[in-house]
Amino acid sequence: MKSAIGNLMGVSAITVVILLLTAILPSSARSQSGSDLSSFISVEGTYTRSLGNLSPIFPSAAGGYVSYGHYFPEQIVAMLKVGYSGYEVSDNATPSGQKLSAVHLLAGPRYYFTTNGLMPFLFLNVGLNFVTTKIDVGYFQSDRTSTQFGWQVGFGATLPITGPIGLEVQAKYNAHFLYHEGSTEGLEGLGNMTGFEYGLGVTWGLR
Amino acid sequence: MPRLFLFLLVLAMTGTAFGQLPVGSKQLARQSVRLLATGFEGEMAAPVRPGPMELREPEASVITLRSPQEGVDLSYIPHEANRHFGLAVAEVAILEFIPWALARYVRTWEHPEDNWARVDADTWWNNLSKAWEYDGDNFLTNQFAHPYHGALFFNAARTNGYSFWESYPFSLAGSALWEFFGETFRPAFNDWVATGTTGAFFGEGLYRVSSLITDNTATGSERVWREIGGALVNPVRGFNRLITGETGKQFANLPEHDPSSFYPVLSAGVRRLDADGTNLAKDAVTQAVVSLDMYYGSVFSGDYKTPFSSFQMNIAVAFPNRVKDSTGVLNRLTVHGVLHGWKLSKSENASHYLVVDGLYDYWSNPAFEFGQTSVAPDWLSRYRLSETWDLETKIGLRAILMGGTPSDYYLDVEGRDYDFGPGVGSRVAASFIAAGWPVLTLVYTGGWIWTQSNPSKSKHNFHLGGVGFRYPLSERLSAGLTLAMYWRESFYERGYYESISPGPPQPFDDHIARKNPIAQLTLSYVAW
Repeated sequence: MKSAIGNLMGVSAITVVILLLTAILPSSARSQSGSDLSSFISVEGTYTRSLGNLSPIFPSAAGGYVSYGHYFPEQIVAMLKVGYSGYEVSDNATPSGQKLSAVHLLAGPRYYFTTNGLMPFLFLNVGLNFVTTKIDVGYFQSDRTSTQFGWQVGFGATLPITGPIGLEVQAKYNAHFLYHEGSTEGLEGLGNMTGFEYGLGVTWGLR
Repeated sequence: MPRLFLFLLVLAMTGTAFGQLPVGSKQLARQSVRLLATGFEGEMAAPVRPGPMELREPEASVITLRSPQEGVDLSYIPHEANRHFGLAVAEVAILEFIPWALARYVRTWEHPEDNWARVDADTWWNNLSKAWEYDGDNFLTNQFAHPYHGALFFNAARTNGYSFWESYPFSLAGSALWEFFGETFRPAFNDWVATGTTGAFFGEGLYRVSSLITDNTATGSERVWREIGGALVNPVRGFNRLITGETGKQFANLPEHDPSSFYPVLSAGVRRLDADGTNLAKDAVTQAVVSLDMYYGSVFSGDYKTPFSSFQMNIAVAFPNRVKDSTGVLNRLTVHGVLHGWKLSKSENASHYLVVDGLYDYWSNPAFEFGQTSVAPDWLSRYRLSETWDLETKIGLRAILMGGTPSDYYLDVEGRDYDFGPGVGSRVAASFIAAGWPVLTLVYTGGWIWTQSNPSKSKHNFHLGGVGFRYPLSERLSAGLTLAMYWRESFYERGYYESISPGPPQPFDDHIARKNPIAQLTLSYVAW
């Protein structure tokens, strides 16, 4: 069941959403744009496909962010994001009872290529993750909550819908530290939560 | 600009610097200039940025001509006045390609499998999947070579029309691309900070120093030497000036060419430091030290809102300085610049500013190694005590984004014998100034670094404190005496480090304290 949900929320579904949004673009672009606004708030749901040696145990995650963005001149936005990711445990993972989740506190710049109509952007976020782990991979066990460095980079687009409201889609590459001890040989590949994260959200512009 | 200074500056920027201590001079005092440097930059950064005493408002940031000359094309729009995205990206690509190609195709590898440049789709995917680690490179590579590479990335944008903040993403992105796709090794997080952020601080310093050296209005042999000097300090800018034809064109200088003040100080002297104890008289190392300390702009009299409109860059070499094979003669490289500031109050008798500084520190000597990339809020004050005496103070905090300090128990096969981690710190400094000279200066700086690199179960508490005296000998010459102490307390988790190469001394101690007293005597010359 979990795998089915994972597939449903996977890359293909996100791709369909992006295509749909792109298709309705010409009729949806309204007066709301970055140049009119001083800041915005967004709420975003996310789905993550894991990479690396952790992916057999935690193949995917679902979560979301609440974000605040403040516009600076010329398409640059300073973002502050608070979020959560809960990782799904593979049915094949042994022993059972393993857990991985993270509370994200990230900040960084977002660059809009344009602030009119469909607004594509690039971004980088860095910050802290408060990570709860209960992992047993045989040669390594961990049961703790720790504060780790977080890093993500990606691209996306904001689509104005009506008034101050817009839709937002994002694709990110995550490289969050899970254990800084991961640089040791025995933990290679377990040191980070890596993955591709896809997000769909709603923004509310503030003047 | 005296050609001697230009020559020395170029030498210094290429690793053979002169001089050590920043000073004031009677001449500068007559010009109402006070250098608040101290006499112990040999072991610590200047406590307070120097600058003119005039309480002027920041100057407008406009293209300026220092001295309009015949033949200067005032209608010419400089290359750096407009953004050139394509060229900036192309230059980042070139800067990625050159070191990669040298390693891949030119360098001879005793064991070809060690060639880290043999990247392919598999190594890229491996790096994306496994991501960050802390690497094992030696101090010079991680704390100098990477920031310099980052400075080049940064200047690929900066010298193509982008501002400091607009250029910063170029060094971050350039570094990330290199770390993920340029090496077979997993990306090193410490490298990304050192190249991306430290490189931006270092790069902006080099950009402004090269702006000082080049003079678009100069002609003849002076112009040739200025172009060569500027290109050596900032090769990316030299390349751009060459391909745009600006090396031979007369046009207006950019505002970075004319800061509110600029004082280069050349120094030379001797230093005695105790590498492994507290007996400075008997068990110590004696070094010859030469340095160049540059003070560009002033918070008190110039712009304090534009990044690095006020900064200091200190470069020192010492002989002998070879603590181990990986250590060169580079003894100290610091770049401290204002990122942004706010004027709190200003009157005839007192001025107060709150500034946020960006700090890059590289220290490597027989007594200690220390590196940091920090963002530092500082409260700067200047008081007029009497007609003769002034007092300048700095009280600040340090957010250490990445710090490096020696580990007592670890030696990586790649040469790293120090720990990496973030931290916090503080600094307090006071300098009493008489007739333009920082006669007496007191400094304390310290902080904590929590180790994140492998092995990570340690933390370090470092301190650097001292007192400096300075005595003027002539208009531009002064003598300085510095007495300072660096001490470090390191805490290691018992039961973990006993198995770490190269093994602990006997018996293992989970709390190690090291003190390194330093005494230094120098002659300094204000060269501008």
